[in-house]
Amino acid sequence: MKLYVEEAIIAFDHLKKLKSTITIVILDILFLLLYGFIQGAPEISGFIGKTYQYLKVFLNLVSESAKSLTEDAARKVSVLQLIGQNDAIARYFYLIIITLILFAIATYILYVIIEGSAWWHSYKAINKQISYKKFITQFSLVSLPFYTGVILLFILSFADTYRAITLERMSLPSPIGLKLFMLFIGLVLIYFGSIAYALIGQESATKTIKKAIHIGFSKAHKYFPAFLVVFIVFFLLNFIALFLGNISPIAMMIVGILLIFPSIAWGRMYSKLVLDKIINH
Amino acid sequence: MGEMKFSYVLAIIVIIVLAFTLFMNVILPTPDIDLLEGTPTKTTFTLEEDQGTNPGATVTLIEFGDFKCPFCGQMHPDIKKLLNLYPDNLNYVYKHFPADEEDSARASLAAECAREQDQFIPYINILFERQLDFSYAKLQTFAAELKLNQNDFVDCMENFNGLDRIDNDIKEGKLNGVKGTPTVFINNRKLEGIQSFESLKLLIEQELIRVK
Repeated sequence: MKLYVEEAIIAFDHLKKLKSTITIVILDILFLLLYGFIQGAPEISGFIGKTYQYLKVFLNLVSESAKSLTEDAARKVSVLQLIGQNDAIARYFYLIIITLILFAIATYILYVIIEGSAWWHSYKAINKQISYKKFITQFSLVSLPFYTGVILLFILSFADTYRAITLERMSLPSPIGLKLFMLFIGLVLIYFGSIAYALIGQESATKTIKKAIHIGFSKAHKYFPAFLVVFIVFFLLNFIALFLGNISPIAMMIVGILLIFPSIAWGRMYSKLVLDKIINH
Repeated sequence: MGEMKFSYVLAIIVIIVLAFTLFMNVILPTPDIDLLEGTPTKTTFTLEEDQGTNPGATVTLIEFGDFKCPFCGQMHPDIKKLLNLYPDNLNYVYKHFPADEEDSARASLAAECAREQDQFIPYINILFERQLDFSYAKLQTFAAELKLNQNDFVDCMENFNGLDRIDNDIKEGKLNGVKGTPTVFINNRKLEGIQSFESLKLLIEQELIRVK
């Protein structure tokens, strides 16, 4: 208990280095804005906006094709067979795949550069010196498996959307089992990812990932409470922001910038400090 | 490469990614509106070669209407405006879908009798402007205003000359899922109920782009 409180206070003290904290907050906000730009701003940009349009067309075409079949035949034909049989369906299927791949690549590059820089500044704020170039290179490699996991979740969420739309057309409710599973996997990825990021600079990227998984399991009883502390802090701050959002959107924005973003910076420093203590003792 | 130089390179990469996103947004095709909104209602209209205000125009606007229907009367000035706006590209076809009322049916019959004298559109313009009274005498007055041959008009009305056409329109409307008036089909895209000038214009513009 002492470890978690002490390191929380130390991390909070490091937040008082305003120059570092402001840089980290700006980087986090910048990532959020640019991610939004890549994901899709109506009529301006975005891969996901396009992907949803393609998905809608794809669904319309699939349901049109199914209509021309007898009920029995429709049950036997899979979507993949329809893709093989219909040029328009195939076209939109490939467009969905292409836009998703482009989105994944663009987001990965931005994530590595901007969030990697935010992590590097967090390291610097708690006096852990490491070359920026080395850090970003390792960050890009360490992020790969976790990012792949996030992309798989993203594809799963697309499949879930597809299923939800199909069920909605049949006036059936969409089960939440898959959503809960995705939430669980997402938390697992964040858990191991936060450990891996806190280990950057000590060993090669592959060893860092292996070590993160090892620590994640073997020291779970020590690290998981710290992870829970960060999770609860974010949850509470989000709750406050949402509560204020009902009163005034401006208040929500101010609280978001003044509390949530610095708390992300704090979370990074805290997880790094706790993990260093766990490893060294 | 120095640390500073490395950070500049990263900043340039970020800018390239953003420019690439914008570029791809232009390059990636925007789905056809029909595909996005689902296949338009399949319609089977029989249009005679000379039917409508501008047969052969790119966009055909078919209205199923009733002269007694206040919403049809309210929408008609907008249709007139659209005909002025798209003199070459819009073909307006009016089809009868009268309510089960004597006045409505009589007005439809009178409009068909005006058609026999090539004054269908001017006559329905009057009917939509003055929906209050469709008595026999009043319909004759409208015909007189347009300087129609009164004897022919009366003969036509008494012999129910236009009845077959009206019946066909109603059957056609029911076949195509018309349930009430006004129902408009813009190149087979079905719109139920009163439509604003802007929404009709928007669909016509979309059709003009699509057909091109």
